[in-house]
Amino acid sequence: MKVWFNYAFKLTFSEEVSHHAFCLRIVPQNNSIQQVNSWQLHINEKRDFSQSIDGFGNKLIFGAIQNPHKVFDVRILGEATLEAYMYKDNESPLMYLYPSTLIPFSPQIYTYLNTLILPSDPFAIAIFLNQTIYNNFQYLQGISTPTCDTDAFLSRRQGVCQDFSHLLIALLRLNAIPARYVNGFIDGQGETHAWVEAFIDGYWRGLDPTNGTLLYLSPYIKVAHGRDFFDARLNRGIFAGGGKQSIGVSVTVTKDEQ
Amino acid sequence: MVESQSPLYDGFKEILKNIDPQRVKDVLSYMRTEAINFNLFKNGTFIERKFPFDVIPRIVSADEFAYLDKGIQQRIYALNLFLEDIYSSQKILKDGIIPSEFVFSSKAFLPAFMNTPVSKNIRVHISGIDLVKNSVGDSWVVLEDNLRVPSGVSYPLSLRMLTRKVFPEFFEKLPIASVLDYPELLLKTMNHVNTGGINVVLTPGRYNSAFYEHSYLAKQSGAILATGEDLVVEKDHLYLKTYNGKRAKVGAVYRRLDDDALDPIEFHPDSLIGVPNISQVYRAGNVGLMNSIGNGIADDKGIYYFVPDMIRYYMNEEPILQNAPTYLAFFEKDRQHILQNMRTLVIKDVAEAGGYGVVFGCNLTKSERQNLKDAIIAEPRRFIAQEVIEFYDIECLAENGDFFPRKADLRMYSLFGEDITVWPGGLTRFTMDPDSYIVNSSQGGGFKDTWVLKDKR
Repeated sequence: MKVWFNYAFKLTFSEEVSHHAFCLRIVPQNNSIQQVNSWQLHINEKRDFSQSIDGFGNKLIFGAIQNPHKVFDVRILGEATLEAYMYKDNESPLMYLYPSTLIPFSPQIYTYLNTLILPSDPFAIAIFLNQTIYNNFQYLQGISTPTCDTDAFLSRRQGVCQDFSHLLIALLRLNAIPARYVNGFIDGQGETHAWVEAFIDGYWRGLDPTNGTLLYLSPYIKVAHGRDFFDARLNRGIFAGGGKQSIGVSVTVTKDEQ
Repeated sequence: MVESQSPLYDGFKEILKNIDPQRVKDVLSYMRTEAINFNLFKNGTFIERKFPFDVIPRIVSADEFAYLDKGIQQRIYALNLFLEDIYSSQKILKDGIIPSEFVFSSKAFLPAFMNTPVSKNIRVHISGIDLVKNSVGDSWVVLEDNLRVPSGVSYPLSLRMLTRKVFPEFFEKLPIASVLDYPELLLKTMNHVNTGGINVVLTPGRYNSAFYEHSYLAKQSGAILATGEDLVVEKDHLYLKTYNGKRAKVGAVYRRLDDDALDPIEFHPDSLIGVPNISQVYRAGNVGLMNSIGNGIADDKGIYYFVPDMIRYYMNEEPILQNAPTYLAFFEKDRQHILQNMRTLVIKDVAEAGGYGVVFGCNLTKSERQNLKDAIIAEPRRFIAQEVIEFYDIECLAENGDFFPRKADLRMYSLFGEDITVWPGGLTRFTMDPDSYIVNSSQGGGFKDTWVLKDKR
């Protein structure tokens, strides 16, 4: 499947900022089911940035704008070829079995897990958990912050894709199924999306608990992954000054309908 | 048992006896005015106080040093190979020598830095190995490896320079190995991994407990002392901002900041003392960063247990230096042993450092013991237990000329550049409290110099 992506991220500051260093994970990964054929990135309409790659294989775009500015405007567009969501890579899946910063193995998560009656087969467990979270938690924007952990989501029962994904990861890991957090682009959301990859029978499979779906031939463009949101965060920056900030994000993904 | 009552100290004591007691007294009070500051970080606040020192050194014989030298070189070599392996192919986990849980569940493992090659394949540039000498069997035992930012080298170094001045007779009469070339060794190590540019010592600033040492080492080695604000990343290189507005490319950084504080973009966003995007310069291989990022996984108290296995695995040699007998609560059999013998063991929380989270089973009340047992059962991976080692006391000298014994350990430093050099000296720390076994400076101990004797010619 051929897909085109277009992502724009705009930070507007009420006061000028300077010494603005940034590091972005916004260029989709290349892996055995996702080939990024071309991409073009502009930051404040320039192509003034450097590239690197982190230990998870995520592409990094970094740089600094020293001069005073009030807008930080990032735009990337490109084209990718996707295959069925089932693949292997070189990472040790065992790395994704343990609690991480936003996914603690807390008494609350054990309590929740104990209320569920699980099937025995790992694939069936994953599907069941994915569906259970989708059915029992409510999607609601504006109440969770990027540092909300699974305990907060369990008590609130409302949140966004990040919260849904963290909870599914926690429950999978507690069932000895390696699970990692994925950030990426899908259509229709208007923002970046988060989902889950679970390692079952030798393959990474995609699960989207926010929509209760198993990913297969889905227009999901994977940008970055990690143990949780912290590892895969899309953008980080630090700067001097700035006053108030407002953020505008838009994402579109279109697929070849042939 | 008191080590300093062995014949090894006879020469020292003989010379001391012949020094006029009044002169000793004067020197001691003079030395106490010479501020060697050590800021203590306790309960979230800084307390500035002097790091007390004592003039009676630890003395290490030439034979003993030769043994320690070989043993530490072997250990550091293996630990460096372990880090190279963990951050690339992870063979030691795949071969089942170390359960992967010990690495993957540790906060000290930083997968974001997998497959990041480092300059000259060296990750453990500067290390501090903590040892004690067991009075049972008269043998050295490694208690801890410090492979992140081990501090303290300037204390024995400054004390040595002072002692040479005020008591030159010891240095005239005893064959004491010189330690004064430490800054030169540091410089060689920096030059070896330097990728092109100047050498910098990166300090968190004057409020850090070891600021004195940072400024001292920078000055003596000829490196530039810099805070995070003095450095800037441009493209994928690191530069020092100089006063004339020009930028000097940095090729090696001896950083005295923890990983967490190093880069506010990669790590803690609240860190004001780091350098934004320095991690990217490191990933690009454009700076020799000493020590490397992610070394904490190798000096984790749980991983410590496996160091002898690493030596066998990577080097196909038997370990020269011994670990303290250690039990991992992670292993069922060890856990039972810990739970049943808590009174005779010292229990350590692997997540803590600096003498925090170290508990002697015999000092606990019944309910405290039960709480600890529950914690061990709940989170076995978090705890290790060790046999209590009856390590030697070394005497200290009071101003009135009396000797008083205190338990003392030894931190030996080594530098990994072209090869591994074990510094023929070290920081000997002693407990203030005569009944204590915890010598960490953050726990209120004092320090001594360490004199390594050369072969008598």
